[in-house]
Amino acid sequence: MEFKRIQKKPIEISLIPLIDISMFLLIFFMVAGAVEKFEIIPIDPPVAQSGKLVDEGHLVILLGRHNEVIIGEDIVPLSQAQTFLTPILSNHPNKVITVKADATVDANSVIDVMDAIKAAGGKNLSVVTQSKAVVHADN
Amino acid sequence: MEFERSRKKMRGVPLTPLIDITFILIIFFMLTTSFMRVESLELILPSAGGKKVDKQEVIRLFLYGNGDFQLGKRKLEGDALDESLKLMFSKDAATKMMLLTEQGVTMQQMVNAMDRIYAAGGQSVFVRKWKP
Repeated sequence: MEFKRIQKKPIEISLIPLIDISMFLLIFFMVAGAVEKFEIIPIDPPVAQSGKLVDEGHLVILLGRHNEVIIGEDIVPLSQAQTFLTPILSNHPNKVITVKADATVDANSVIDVMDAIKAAGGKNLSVVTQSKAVVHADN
Repeated sequence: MEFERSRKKMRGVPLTPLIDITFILIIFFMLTTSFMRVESLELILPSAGGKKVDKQEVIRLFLYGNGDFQLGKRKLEGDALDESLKLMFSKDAATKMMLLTEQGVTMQQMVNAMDRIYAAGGQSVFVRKWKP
């Protein structure tokens, strides 16, 4: 007895659902999130409810977990922060300075940075906060 | 004379480059997007070398390393602090607050204290170091 062989049809993978879903994901990420600004050191700002949505200042000072101070793009020892800031602030004393410090940093080192800004002639200062805690894998 | 027409094959639009580019874009946005809402708190910087802040004008809030608060000379906890801050700012919203932080206070604790001052109606806060 002979069996009839079933003829195999060439299988075609339909690509349309794949494109649908990828477009959906693409639009979601484009609309829902803001592009993260690259920073030299990872900083997790403190959580605050009364923070206001303000544009980041013209000069950003980062204060990392291990008290490293980064002004603009330069790593500056805390003791020299004032001498570094003085020429910048003497030209533009009303420059908005944004201090972005990690939540775990000692408050006194943030105050040291603020004192350096004050001594260099800065007037406008804001401290970066976030509205909701972001859970980090390393915490 | 008759020309033979070249037979057109039925071909769809090639989708592979589209998928390639879409995936590259998805990966790019996934890696660079942050859902963190960045906000900021404003602080006063009393001008250096300027007149010293009169002690009478300023109300001091001490912040201990263990998380305790002291408003003026009274140690306060929890809601009692919020209530006395509210009462104070309802009398004069322009009252300046000096936040004094002890060694060992973290940035988060300091911001929490500032948060409570702003929530109670305070408008101007400045911070100082403090050694008990």
